[in-house]
Amino acid sequence: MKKIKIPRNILLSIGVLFALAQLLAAGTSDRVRHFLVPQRPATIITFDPPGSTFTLPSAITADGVIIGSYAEASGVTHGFIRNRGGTFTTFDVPSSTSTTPTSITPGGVITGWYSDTIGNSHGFLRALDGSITSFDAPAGSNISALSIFLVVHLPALTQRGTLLERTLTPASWGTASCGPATVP
Amino acid sequence: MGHGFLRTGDGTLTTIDVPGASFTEALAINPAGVIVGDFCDATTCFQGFMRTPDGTFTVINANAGIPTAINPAGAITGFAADGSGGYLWTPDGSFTVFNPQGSLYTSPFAINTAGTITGFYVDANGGHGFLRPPDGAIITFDPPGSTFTVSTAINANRVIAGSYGDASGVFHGFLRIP
Repeated sequence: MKKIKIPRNILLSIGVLFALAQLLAAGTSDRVRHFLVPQRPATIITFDPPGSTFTLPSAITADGVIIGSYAEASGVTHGFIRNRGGTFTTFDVPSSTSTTPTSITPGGVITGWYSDTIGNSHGFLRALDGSITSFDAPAGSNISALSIFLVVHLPALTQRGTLLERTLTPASWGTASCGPATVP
Repeated sequence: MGHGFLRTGDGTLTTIDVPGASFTEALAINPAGVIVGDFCDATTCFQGFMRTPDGTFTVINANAGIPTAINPAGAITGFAADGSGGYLWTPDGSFTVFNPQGSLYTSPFAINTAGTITGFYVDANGGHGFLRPPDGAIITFDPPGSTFTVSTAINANRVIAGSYGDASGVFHGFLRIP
């Protein structure tokens, strides 16, 4: 009778596969998955612009630049840019009482909204050089954002520089039967 | 009456009203110029719509409530109209409602180019961040010390930005690197 020789490394491989199969059968698929493909745990980095008591990021670019708004202890809200290295640039629309950036293009153009000294809201564009252009939707309207949900998502800005905002008149909003969902 | 509008790079404004709507709000736009938002008609609010660059309006899905984001491929995420969870709508017409395990309320906020969604959900213990890759295998997370986590943005590398509240009620920013 001819003897079949099985190389040692193949025997070891069969043994490993058998052990893995047993682990799977025992319902420990997570452990097996980690054994086969080691998972690197996610890293969480926390941050605040200087003086912030409330930090709310709203967008992140492909290369990790984050924009958002933050409030200081007095309640005044400012815009921030967190650069890749973790340094901050803060900014305000001139004559604003609160500035809320909401979107950024891959090229670094930022849009958002701000409130003026009499409480009206307007849109703004911030160019890469820091210059700011204010704009308004058709006359008689007010650009606004009424919840965290809307603050984050209004307006959106595309790579082509197209800007989207919602407009509404405060009076009609007050009587409207519909509105944005309340965020718990 | 509320209206949406589109402002192009040259400053031109176009008013956006869903035909027959008593209220329209535009909430997001992708690089192709497709806009999503929600509207009210005579009987129902929080209906999700999509507007293509030629001005055509489409109801996203009968159960698509407020859309929150649209990615370059046209995939849309938002809140299901019936309150059953977050949704993902893809251009092939598929519509998927999803929830992290234990969720009482799911709030998708952003979707990246690959279709990975981030947002937050609320369970019996508070608010937490989530990440939903295209395969649907949801990952949940909280920064250390968080009592309430809100994920608001995600980029193509699945890096997530958001905000979390600590035990003293102060909200901080966070960055989650996969």
